[in-house]
Amino acid sequence: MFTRATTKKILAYASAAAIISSNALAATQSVTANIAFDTPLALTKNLDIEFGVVKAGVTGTHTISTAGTVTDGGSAVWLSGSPHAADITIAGSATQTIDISVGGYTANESATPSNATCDYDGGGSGSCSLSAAAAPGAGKTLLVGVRLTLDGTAVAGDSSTPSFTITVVYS
Amino acid sequence: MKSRALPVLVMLWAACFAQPSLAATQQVTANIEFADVIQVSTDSDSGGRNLSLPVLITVNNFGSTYFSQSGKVYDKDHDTVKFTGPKDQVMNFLTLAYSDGVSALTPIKSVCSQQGDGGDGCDKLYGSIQSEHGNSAESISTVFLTNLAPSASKNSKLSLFDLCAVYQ
Repeated sequence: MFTRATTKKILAYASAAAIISSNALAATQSVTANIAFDTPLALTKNLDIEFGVVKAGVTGTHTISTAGTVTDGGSAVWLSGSPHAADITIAGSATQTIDISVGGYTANESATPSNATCDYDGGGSGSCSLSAAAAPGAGKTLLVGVRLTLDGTAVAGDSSTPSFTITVVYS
Repeated sequence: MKSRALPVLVMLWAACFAQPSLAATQQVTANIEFADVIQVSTDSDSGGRNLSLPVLITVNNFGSTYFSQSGKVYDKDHDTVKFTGPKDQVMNFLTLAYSDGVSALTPIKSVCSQQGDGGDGCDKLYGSIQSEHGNSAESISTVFLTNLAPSASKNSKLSLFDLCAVYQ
């Protein structure tokens, strides 16, 4: 049997060992959760494309530039009107660049669209496949032209509304 | 650890896969209208005058019809422009006007109206661009016939006398 003094010593050592060993087994790790906040992209169409009036019953192409100039190909003849390109305002992040693409060309009546051209933020006309274009911020202008191919079946009084889709994503 | 890691993974997943939802699309429509075109021929009987052909007569859907054509400047002489086209699209009201390519369209002379010509409509129209414009040396790039309304009458002819420097 232990004396009372010995028992006290044993308990004291045991308590100390328990405390020391407990501290030695503890481990902590800081975990950081990264999350970025940004502004969703928003497209506002100010104008659709307007070709004006063209000659009916002929095959050929009409191409409208991002500046709104119509050029004829084949037997197509532009006649009158106030042609203009599409005008879209892109708004979103002030820091994150964007990619622009075009697709979904959909013919209507006798006109088939293709070969859209884009002029983003006055950077000049070119392909509508743009990568890492400038961040739109509060709003930058995208002008869009396109080529229409006519199959010659339109008659006077007809109108046609072919369409396509512009898609913008963050790079 | 599992209870802490799970929310972190969820947030990382959301950061990665939520981005496509930020894509924006916009449909663009190209509007185009179709109209008849009436071919116009001209007399070229003397003086080396001739219009570049074809001159176009446009009949659109709104009842406002005009033709415009760029061509050569030619000297003062008589010439005749003959209009031919579908019976229901001949013109019964004409106004001659010119544009020098810079100025706004300037009316020169109404050469026919539904009330004029003794009820003959515009079977024959006469006009003098030079005398109205007063400057024979001026180059007029385009001539417009405006305010043409469809008519069910017979084909029309337009005679332009002293037509000077109309087409360049």
